[in-house]
Amino acid sequence: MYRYVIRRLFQSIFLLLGISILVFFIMRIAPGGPGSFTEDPRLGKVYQEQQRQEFGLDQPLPVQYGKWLWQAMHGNFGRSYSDKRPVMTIIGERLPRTMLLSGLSLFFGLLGIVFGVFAALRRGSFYDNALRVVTVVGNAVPHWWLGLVILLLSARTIKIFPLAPPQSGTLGSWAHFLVLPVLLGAFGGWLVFSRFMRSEMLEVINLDFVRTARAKGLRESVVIFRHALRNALIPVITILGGSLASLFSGSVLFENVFSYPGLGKLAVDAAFQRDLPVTMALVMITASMVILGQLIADIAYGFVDPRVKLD
Amino acid sequence: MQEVRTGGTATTLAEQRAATQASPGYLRRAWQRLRRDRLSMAALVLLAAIIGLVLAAPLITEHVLHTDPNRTRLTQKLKPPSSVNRLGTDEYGRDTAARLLHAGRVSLTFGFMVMAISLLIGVPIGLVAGYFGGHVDDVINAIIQLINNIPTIFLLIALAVLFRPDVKGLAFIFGVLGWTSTARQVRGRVFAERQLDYVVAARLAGASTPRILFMHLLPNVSSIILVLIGFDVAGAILGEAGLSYLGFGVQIPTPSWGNMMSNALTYFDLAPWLVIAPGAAISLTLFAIYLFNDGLRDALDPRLNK
Repeated sequence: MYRYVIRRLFQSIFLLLGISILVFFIMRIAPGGPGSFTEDPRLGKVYQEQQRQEFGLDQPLPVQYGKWLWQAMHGNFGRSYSDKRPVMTIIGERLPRTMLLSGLSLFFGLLGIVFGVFAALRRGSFYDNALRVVTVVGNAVPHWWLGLVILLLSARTIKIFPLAPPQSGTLGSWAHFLVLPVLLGAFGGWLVFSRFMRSEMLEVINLDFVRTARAKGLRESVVIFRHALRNALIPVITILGGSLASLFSGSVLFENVFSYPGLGKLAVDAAFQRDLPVTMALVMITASMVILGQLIADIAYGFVDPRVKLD
Repeated sequence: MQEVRTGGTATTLAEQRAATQASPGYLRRAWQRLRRDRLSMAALVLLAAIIGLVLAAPLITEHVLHTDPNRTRLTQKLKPPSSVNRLGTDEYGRDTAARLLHAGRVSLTFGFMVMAISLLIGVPIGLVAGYFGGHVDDVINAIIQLINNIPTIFLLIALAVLFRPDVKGLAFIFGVLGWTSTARQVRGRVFAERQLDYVVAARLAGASTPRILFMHLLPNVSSIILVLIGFDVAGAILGEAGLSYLGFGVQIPTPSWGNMMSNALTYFDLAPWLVIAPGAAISLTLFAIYLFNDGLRDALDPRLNK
């Protein structure tokens, strides 16, 4: 067990190193890349050189990478090219907002588990078929576009949903604003969790231990909830591990549709301004969360399901 | 023993040949199963109609709509749908229906290009990883892990700004970041297939490794690839639309369903049809693909009857 965890930790560190090298060099080699903000001819030669030195862009690439890595390991991702503040400060401002939006979306998205279980229990019923149709249609429609259309309809008719977040709003106005983005985020969760849960539940329900439970004369509710459901829930851990990352990266598209000042919006703004330190930090922090989420999910799996041997 | 491939024990060469020729029979049987599924057939007809309309876009715009996707008429700006402009006009008075058809060519071509690149990279790598296993598999797995753990959306945005790619360049970036799921699926199937008799027999008969990989294993994992085609195309269209919405996708003046939508946002209030039409086109196309794929998967693998 411990050996497994340690090995996975080492793997994760190497994975992160690999990602950082790959992304760092792609971005530096790219034509519009390294500090092209210093190449604006209006700035003057001396100032350009000064800026390049200030951001360390005059040094060889491997040296730049080494310095970046050393600082990144200490939680310092450098300063933003555009507003010159430390990248971590900027991310620190935005992170709680993104976590609020994605956290709420994920929380309500978990309702999909209930939808899936019901579909499995009433297999072939009207409800089951309706859920299937909703799933296919729901996957075909881009959710951010759906958000746009709802905003548009609401703006033209009864104005239920505000078009942008409140400037300095009260708790109530923020809650009001968050309804639509959270609902759409949760919709994505419903699609994933319900389909997944339905097939897991159908699989478990036909296993011997469920038949045994029924044969013992247990009540149906006990068979379903205490025996079948608990086992069917185990694989959901894997999906939750992946969702952990989305708490941090948020949905870039939703944040932009709703002008929500989170990390996703920051990513778009940073890219437009070629603010490489910010982009690099976002990539690395999200990648770390993806990897950490998988690690936690794998280890948790071993605890919850004794059949899985970790070593 | 895979009953579709060999009927009993083939001893003579002729029988063996007959047995190998049974493999198109597998696809034919899948097709027969698929044809009985009305929903999948409806999806196929819808898909064919969309592709047909988009392919015939120049003819339709000229002879049916009597216009040109780039003809600007400033007196006809932002007109709502009417009998002349069936889907209204945009900010330059261009016909939305004509532009939608032409943008569809770009979006669908983009989807097919990304799919082709993902398959060209992913299928051989998956075959090799699954067939050789061991260290080769470990190295390939490490690369796949590396790419899969990069937060794609952030990287795509950054790359789109730095490289300013055209449609082909963007398709290349999508393909290079997207082949991993293909490779993993193919690898998984090859892993299960490689110890079957027909592979061992081919190896004993002295077949070269490329021959085993591409002539023997590839046809037997083709069912997975057929299903992946649809998902890859759909995923690419959806991805392009999202990226274009953010302003990083296919760049104007080349119209795509994605950038038609992002362009229209400025006129959100005045001309909602400009936002609704391209989104509806994307949704309808993806709906047809997903629905057809669902039936295709069941038809290719009848045991999977969920």
